Formats: sequence, structure tokens, C-alpha cells
Amino acid sequence: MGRIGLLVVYAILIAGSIYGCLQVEIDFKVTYFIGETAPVYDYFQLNDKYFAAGSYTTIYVDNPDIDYSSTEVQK
Amino acid sequence: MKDCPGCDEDWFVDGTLQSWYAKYNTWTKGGSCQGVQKDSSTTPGWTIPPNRFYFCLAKFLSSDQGRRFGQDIVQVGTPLTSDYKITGYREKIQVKKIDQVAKQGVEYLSDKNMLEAEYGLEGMFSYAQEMLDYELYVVFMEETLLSTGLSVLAVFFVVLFVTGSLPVTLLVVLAVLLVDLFLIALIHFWDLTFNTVVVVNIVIAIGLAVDYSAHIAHTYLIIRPPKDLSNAEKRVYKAKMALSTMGSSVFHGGFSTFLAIISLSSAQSYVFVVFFRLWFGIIVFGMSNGFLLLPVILSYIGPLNDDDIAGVEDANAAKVSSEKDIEMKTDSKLKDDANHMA
Repeated sequence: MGRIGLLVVYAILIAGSIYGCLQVEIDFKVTYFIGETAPVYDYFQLNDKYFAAGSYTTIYVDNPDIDYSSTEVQK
Repeated sequence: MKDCPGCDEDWFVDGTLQSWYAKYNTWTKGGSCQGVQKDSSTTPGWTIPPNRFYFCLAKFLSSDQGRRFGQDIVQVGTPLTSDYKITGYREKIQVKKIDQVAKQGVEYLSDKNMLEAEYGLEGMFSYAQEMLDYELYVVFMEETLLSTGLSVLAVFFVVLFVTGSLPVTLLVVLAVLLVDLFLIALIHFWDLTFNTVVVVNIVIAIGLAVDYSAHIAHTYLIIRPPKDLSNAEKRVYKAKMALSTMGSSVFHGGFSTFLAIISLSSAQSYVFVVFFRLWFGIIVFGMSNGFLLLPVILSYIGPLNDDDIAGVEDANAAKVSSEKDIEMKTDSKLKDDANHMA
């Protein structure tokens, strides 16, 4: 019967969708926003190709109460 | 900071720490500072004598090797006097390329925080421009679930209020949730990734999909079946009549939305591409759930109220009266809208 057939099709769809959901990746890159015709697109491509290094993280210490001259702090 | 026990990855590039202290230590150890003996041993852990620390630091910062580190140290007081000291400093280190913002970025943040808490000095923190992106994905899943959950909850209460029937409301919520399920699967099958642009559409989908199901379900409830049918036949009759009275309006709604987004189909820009693909999915899945799945389920297990069980004398009369009902409702709604606009 048509109605049963539809429910079967839906069951298959749902199974397929659950599989698809498990495959979904969470990801984003700023370069998504840049079209292939934009000049800066080439920059990103070349930069990734030749200078694919990470960026710098700066570590700050802000504490006036530390005795920086002590042997322990100097480690 | 070099070794990182318990980290997901070894994040830092060896030898890239730009540390004023390391340079200062080497400089002083090499005997460049007056009053500190040259030390040529290679055992690590050599430190500058505390009583000479600030004197030598001032000398170091005015030397050719040390001058460039002056900007990295917060100094108070006059150099070479007793009130001279430092209250803070900064050091830079190169982090390996982080490609997956949502996974690696989040791991990096937590490892970095762990390192600071475990080995850092009091008052240590760190910053990089990229951390803005990483922080977003720390709360991403939580926020997504919260927004989606609240939207579904809103759908539940509004549909419950409009239909007054718990089973029908649950079926509409099911249809709406299935649209979201199909949509998230579509992200994978149509070459997208789940991110902040996509999630907007996932939440919007709930509001749009409710349209396609709720109208059909509502009409199902107000259709009166003829008296002489069995209960199973009454359900089928109500589902069929719901489709034939409300179907074309809902179809027009869906199709006009489709016409509106078709202009996005040839777009090149990411946001528009995402909008087109997902709205296409919302309309297709929303309409198929409203037109196919929901009526079929209703025809099997749809609720029958007392009036339905009593039935009406003549099937055609029922049809006409229910159509009139709808027309009257539509008319009064239009008038309401017109009044609002005026």
C-alpha cells in the first residue's frame, strides 16, 4: 500500500540522515568568505603553500607583587 | 613551557620562544655583566644572583643585544637605583599551524590554560588574534543546542495553544525535528561544514518548517468526517480532506519561498551559497513532511474527538461547512492584517 511504502521510504531517509549527521564536521575558515576571483585569494593560497606556519601567541605576565629577581621565579 | 604532559598535541614550535629572560640569562652567564663571574658550565638551571638581578638587567637592556627587549618588560623606577624593578613582561612563542578551528583550536585553548595554571607565574595570561575564533567554538555546541531547544519549545507551546491537541502537537514537533535532522545530514551531503553561518539556518528552519506541518495538522482537526464511516476510515477521510482544503495554500507558501531563494542559486559568495542550499532543504523537507509524512501518520493514529466520533449526516455538507469555516477565518484574518497595516 502507498502509505506503508511512504513510511518505509521515510525510515530509509531517516537512517541515511542519521548517518549523514554523524559525518558532519564542525569547521570554519575565514577564506570561505573570499571568492576565487578576489586578489587576496591568491595571497592566502600562496601563503598556505609556502609559509604554512602557525601564528605567534604572546604570553603576558602582569603581577607587581612577584620578586622577579628571586632564584625560584627565575627557575 | 616546552614539554606539555597531557596535551592533545605538541603545540609549540621548538626554539621559537622569544624570551628576554633566556637572552638575559645567557648574556649574564657569559660574563658580560660586571660583578657576575663568567660561568662556563653547561648544566641547566643557572640563575642570576638576586642581588645583581636588577643592576645587570639595566645593563643588559642598554646593551646592543638586550635593547630590543626593552619593549617587552614593564619597568618602574630609575635604572641602576634601588627603586628600579619590573612588574610584568611578555614573551612570544610560535604555535604550530592550526587548521581545524573547531577541534584543534578548542584543544589548544584548553591545553594552554592548563599550562598556565600548572606551570605559569601568578597573573599570567596569553593572547593571539586567532583565539577569538577558537573561543567561539568552545561554546558553539552548547549555544546551538540551546537555541534549537528553545525554538522547538516555542513551537511546542504555540502549536499546542493553536490546536489544543497534545498528540497533534507532538506530531508537528516531530515533523519539525525531522526537518532539522535532514538538514544537518544535508550539510554533509552537500559539501558544507557546520559553523556559525550554517547554524543560523538550522535555527531558522524550525520556524519555517512549522508552517508546512501546523496548517495541515490544524485543518485535520477541524474537518468533520461523515457519520457512516468506521474510525479508521474517519482518520483517512480527515487526513485527505485536510490536504485538499489546506494543501494548495501551503504549497503556494512553500513555492513562493522557493521562488524567492532561487535567485541565490547562482551566487558565488559563501553566505549566499549556504543560504540557498539550506533553504532549499528547508522547503523540500518541510513540504514533504507536511504533505506526505504528517497526513500518513495522522491517517493511522490521528486523534478523533467526540464530534468526529458522532460524525455529520452528510459528507458533502461537512466539506462545504468546513471550507466555509476556513474561508471565514481567512477573511477575518485578512481583515485583521489590513487593520494592522492601516
